[in-house]
Amino acid sequence: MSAFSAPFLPTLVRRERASLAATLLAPPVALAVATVLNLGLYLLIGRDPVAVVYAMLFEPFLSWASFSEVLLKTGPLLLIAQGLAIGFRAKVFNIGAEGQFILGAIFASAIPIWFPQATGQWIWPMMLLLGVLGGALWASITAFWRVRLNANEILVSLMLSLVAAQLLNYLLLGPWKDPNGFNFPQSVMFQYDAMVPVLIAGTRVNVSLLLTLALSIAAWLVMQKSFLGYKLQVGGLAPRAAGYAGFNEGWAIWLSLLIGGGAAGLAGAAEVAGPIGQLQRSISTGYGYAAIIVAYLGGLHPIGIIASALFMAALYIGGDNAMVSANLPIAAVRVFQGSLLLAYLIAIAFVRYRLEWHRPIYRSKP
Amino acid sequence: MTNAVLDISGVSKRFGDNLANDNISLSLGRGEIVALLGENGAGKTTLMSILFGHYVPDSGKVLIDGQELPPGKPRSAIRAGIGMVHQHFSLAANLTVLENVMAGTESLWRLRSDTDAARQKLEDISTRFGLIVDPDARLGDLSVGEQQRVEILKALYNDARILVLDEPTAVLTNLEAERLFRTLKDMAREGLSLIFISHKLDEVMAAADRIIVLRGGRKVAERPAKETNKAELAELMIGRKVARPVREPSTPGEVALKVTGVSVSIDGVERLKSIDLSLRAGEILGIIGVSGNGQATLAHLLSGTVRRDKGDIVLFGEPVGDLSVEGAVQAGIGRIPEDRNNEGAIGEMAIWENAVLERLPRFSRHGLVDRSAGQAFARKIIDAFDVRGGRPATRTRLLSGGNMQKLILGRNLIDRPRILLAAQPARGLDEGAVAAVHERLLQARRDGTAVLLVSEDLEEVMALADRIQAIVNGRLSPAVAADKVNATKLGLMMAGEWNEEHEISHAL
Ligand SMILES: Nc1ncnc2c1ncn2[C@@H]1O[C@H](COP(=O)(O)OP(=O)(O)OP(=O)(O)O)[C@@H](O)[C@H]1O
Ligand SMILES: [Mg+2]
Repeated sequence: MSAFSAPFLPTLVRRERASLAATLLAPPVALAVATVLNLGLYLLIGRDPVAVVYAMLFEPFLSWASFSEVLLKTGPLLLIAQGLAIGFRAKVFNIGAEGQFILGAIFASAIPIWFPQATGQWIWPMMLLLGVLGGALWASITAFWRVRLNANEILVSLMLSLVAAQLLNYLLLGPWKDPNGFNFPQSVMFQYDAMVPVLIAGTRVNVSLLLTLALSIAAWLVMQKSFLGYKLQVGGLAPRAAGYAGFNEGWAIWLSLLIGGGAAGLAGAAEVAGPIGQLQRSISTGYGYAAIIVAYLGGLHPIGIIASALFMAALYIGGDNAMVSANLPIAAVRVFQGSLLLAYLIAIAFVRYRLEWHRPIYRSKP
Repeated sequence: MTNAVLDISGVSKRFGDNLANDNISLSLGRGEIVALLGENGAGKTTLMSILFGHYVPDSGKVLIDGQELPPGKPRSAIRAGIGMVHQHFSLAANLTVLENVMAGTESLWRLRSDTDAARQKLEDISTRFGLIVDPDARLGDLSVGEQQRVEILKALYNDARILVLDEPTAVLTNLEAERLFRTLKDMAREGLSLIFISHKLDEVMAAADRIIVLRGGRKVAERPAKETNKAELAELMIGRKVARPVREPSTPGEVALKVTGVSVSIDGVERLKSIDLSLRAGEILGIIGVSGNGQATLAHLLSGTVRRDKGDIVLFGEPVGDLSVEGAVQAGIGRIPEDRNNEGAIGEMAIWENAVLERLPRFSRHGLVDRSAGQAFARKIIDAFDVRGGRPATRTRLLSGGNMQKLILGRNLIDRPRILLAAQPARGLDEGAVAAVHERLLQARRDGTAVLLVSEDLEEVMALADRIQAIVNGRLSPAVAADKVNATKLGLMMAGEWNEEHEISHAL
């Protein structure tokens, strides 16, 4: 093996500085590359690429009915991604938003499931609050082990998502199963007051979208303007300088995870108290994972994330459309998302680094 | 030159409207030692970075043995036999010495790394050149001085024939520096060619065969070492005459800080062993010692970043228990960290963001950072401390080494701290800047600040400090009055030879 040395392999060399134009160009270029690659894939599995692209990328924006669905999906993605991005910038990699989302949904569901007769306008706000609490609590397990034992937060939070899914299963197959539900693994339908009020009549878009936008502005304030965001950022960029300046690393980890978990939990609560209206197995279609892509596509910047969340939501709806109109398998949508993230990460790597090829131009004299 | 191993010809490099290198040419012969001299920001590091392929020059080229080196390709430079010891270390803190040295030398295709052979080679090199470090120590646990040894070892490990050292002695004691130069001379005798950057005229005169002076990006002079002198060099470098200031007699005031019997362990290793010191307003207490003897821990203790195991700390007459960073800053302790690149400044953030780093509470209102106040503060520092090469919004990593240090000094001194903790404050600064920093420290002393000066530079400590304590292996010697000791005696103290009779009474 050792006969191969590395001279013909290129290495990555950091650029003197990354250009702004290249940074802004990276997402559209990544999108174009991912689209072309996936078109090839659709051809290979024998679908009409034009129909797929039309259904996936254009149809979501062409009717109010489908655009309102896009907005509906934007909510949870945006919320989770904003929370995660704060942690990512502090280099705390919470990959378990999916589990925190589920816990948020479970906590929120406790009220309508335990008190199905309760009425009053306090119920849905209470549920959202409980959702935040549930998500934050679930994330705090990760924070605890990371701070206490320096356990890798990527692994812990990811594995806890699997546990959360099982917890949901247990509740739906056991204590929280709807007794009149023909043995389906789902809870009772929630009462009227346990539902977040609809925002735009005739659609399923509800008040939580406003809340999400408000929280996006808050995220922007926190990350770009606040003392707190500054401390988190220093911790991510230069941990030793942060320590010297007296910014506590454990505190940053706790805060990052609690914010990320709380946001994901809120998203979970808003889903069960919104479009779904009950607790069921399929409350999340991978929002927690997709939000990671959303956060990075948005450049971890609160404003960028609004754009990328909208885009990712459109992709979900477009994927649904394509499933129906172009007979595309659901996995194809996931493949598209995955290749998009990959293309973006590669593009951004080239924004920051350039390739250096090693031609044996020069040989030192013996 | 026909026997030149290295020729740099007509190199220019512009950063924005800053011409960092302006048509510079130089050549280096086999077995020759050339010193590159120049103020902070003169363009020395930039020139060497071009040589090493970190930067692509706007014009000009680099020839090795008469063959042109492709620009902007560090790998080709390494393969051509150029080794570089950076001013800003580029080692990984969480790897061991051996792993750091091996990093980047191994083929990606190999499944198993040949650690045994690497260890053998490393040990051969380190005994041959007298650069002793434990190959299995974690880099992050080493002192800055030891880390630099690893940088040199790494270059030698890569079979460098041309070795470039960017301010190698900035982190070494005089003794260590002397040894380093002996090593460098041995290397030169064996056919290695060396370029080193320095601000210290003594060592330039002692070690170099030829001296090249840069100023404002241009080569202003080139002299054989035998045909010049320190005074001429200083003038060439700065364009005017400079002299370092010396402390004048004064009467210190109240005790500002008293440390009694404090011990500190880090990861189970006792780094400070029952130390005593007392520091008065309006005096400078010098702590001298060879890097790695606990002075980093002492600085951290008083900066509020490590906890003590036992002993007492009394600040302005009040016991404080453990200091926190916030507590220290609020109590009026200005802190200048030893490791400015990793602790003092965040390269990726703006100058103003670095300026407010430890003083954020003062620059935030309702939890929001007051950007314009922060920028104004930074501008004040830039003006008052002559930080060149950046505006408040410039990214800090674009500053030259010396200017970054001026920024850190500035943010601490501008507040007129009651106590100033200065760890290696003049490290890596040019003669003019060293004089300016020393003047600032003396000014602080005149203003009644209690200054704790942790330094490895005997000359600096003897010129500035009223009293001196040596730190050896975590123990602090009793204080001696600076005007009652000479370099020999301090040398003995730094080697751990002290006895109680040196102690002067604190009663005054
Ligand atoms: N990447 C960069 N972008 C913009 N300006 C830069 C960059 N690198 C260096 N400079 C500027 O170029 C000038 C020369 O810097 P350089 O680091 O070469 O100085 P130096 O002689 O090594 O100084 P010092 O003794 O302080 O290390 C400085 O004004 C510096 O601010
Ligand atoms: Mg330099």
